[in-house]
Amino acid sequence: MTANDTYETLRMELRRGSLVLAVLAALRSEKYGYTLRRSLSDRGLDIDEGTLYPLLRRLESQGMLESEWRDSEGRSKRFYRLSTEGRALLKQLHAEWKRIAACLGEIL
Amino acid sequence: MELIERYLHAIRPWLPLGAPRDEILRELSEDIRSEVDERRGGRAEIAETEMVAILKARGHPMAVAARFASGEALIGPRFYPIFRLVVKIAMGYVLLPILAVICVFTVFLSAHPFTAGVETLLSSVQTAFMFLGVIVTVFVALERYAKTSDLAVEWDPRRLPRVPRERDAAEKLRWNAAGILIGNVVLAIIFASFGRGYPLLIPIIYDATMGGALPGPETTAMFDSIWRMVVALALVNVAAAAIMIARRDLARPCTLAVASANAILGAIILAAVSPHWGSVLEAGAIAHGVQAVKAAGASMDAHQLGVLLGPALDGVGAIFLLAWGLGCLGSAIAEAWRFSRL
Repeated sequence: MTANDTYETLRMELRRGSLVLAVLAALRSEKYGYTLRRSLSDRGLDIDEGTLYPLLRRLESQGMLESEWRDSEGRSKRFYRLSTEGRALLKQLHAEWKRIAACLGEIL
Repeated sequence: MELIERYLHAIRPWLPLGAPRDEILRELSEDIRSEVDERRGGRAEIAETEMVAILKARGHPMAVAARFASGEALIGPRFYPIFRLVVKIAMGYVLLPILAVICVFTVFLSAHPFTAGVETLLSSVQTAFMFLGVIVTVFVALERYAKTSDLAVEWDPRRLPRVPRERDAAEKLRWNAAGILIGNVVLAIIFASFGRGYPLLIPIIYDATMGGALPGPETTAMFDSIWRMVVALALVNVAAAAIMIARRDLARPCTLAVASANAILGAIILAAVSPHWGSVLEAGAIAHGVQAVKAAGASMDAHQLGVLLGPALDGVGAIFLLAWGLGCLGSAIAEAWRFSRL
């Protein structure tokens, strides 16, 4: 494994944990899949559909998200939003994120 | 928009087993259409080249499907769909039918069927694991050492296969089920009538048989040893086909039942005919037999007729059973393939 491969693997690991937090935070307001993907990528966090949709399904099955298929702009779209439990979890994760960022800020 | 349908249709078979395929495709469809809407802006339609660019940017259907596989694995998403295809073809359509035939042959031909059956079954399982092990090893090596996979090669959404219309697919399924139903009714009637000895009631065969040889002692023995099982399995196929015609939602389990029944049918028929391979060579003698019968004319008695035509008819019977057995195995493979596409 080259240094570049190692970097890529570690970068993906670092990113994987942050994605959950990013998705939960982005869904404080209701969005459907494509607009969620766009809002994340507009902020520099590209996420492919094969990562996003399974993640949304997992978070929904854990009770963190709620979703419903609804007609919008002439098509049926699946809208996602944070559940009450999801809001509480986001709060906890955000606090933890800030703590880690502060620690790392000092260490780095 | 037809390109999107074709793209989604091409993704479906590669999605991981057990994944909610309809839901994933519905979401993917919506995601692609939203992107198309955004690109379209105020225009009525986007150009085909733009659509092709959107789909190509999303990746090859196989690669898109592979991203829905979860967790760390020895064989990652790059190679997993190809691995699955290779395992399906190598194990499901090649190795298992061969092992099934070997098992049935062994049981039929052995003096101790139970012991031979268990031993063959165990060695078959061992062979299957070894086969699977080789495939896994090759793909793990590919995953570890290959820089890229074929998924990265150039592909064109315009060359993806067209989506069959729902009505056409339903029609095709119904015709296939009708074919299975009719074919197996004929099969059941033929074998049951031979089993019950009805063809012997036809005067010419009756006379000749009484003479001692027709329709051939070997052919009679072959039919006699298997006709009950063949009729039973044919009736399983008839029932499955009838259910398929009446209830399209049960097409999948019914197709699996037909594939299994045909595989067993093929193995049983081939096992029954295997001790009589030598008879096949006698079939060519039928022309001589018929000429001799014609030359003798009315002076020939039933015994002479039997002596002249008996061995040749054994050969014809063996060829008939051989062709039918192979046909059943072919049909089992075709039904297994259809099952995987449903």
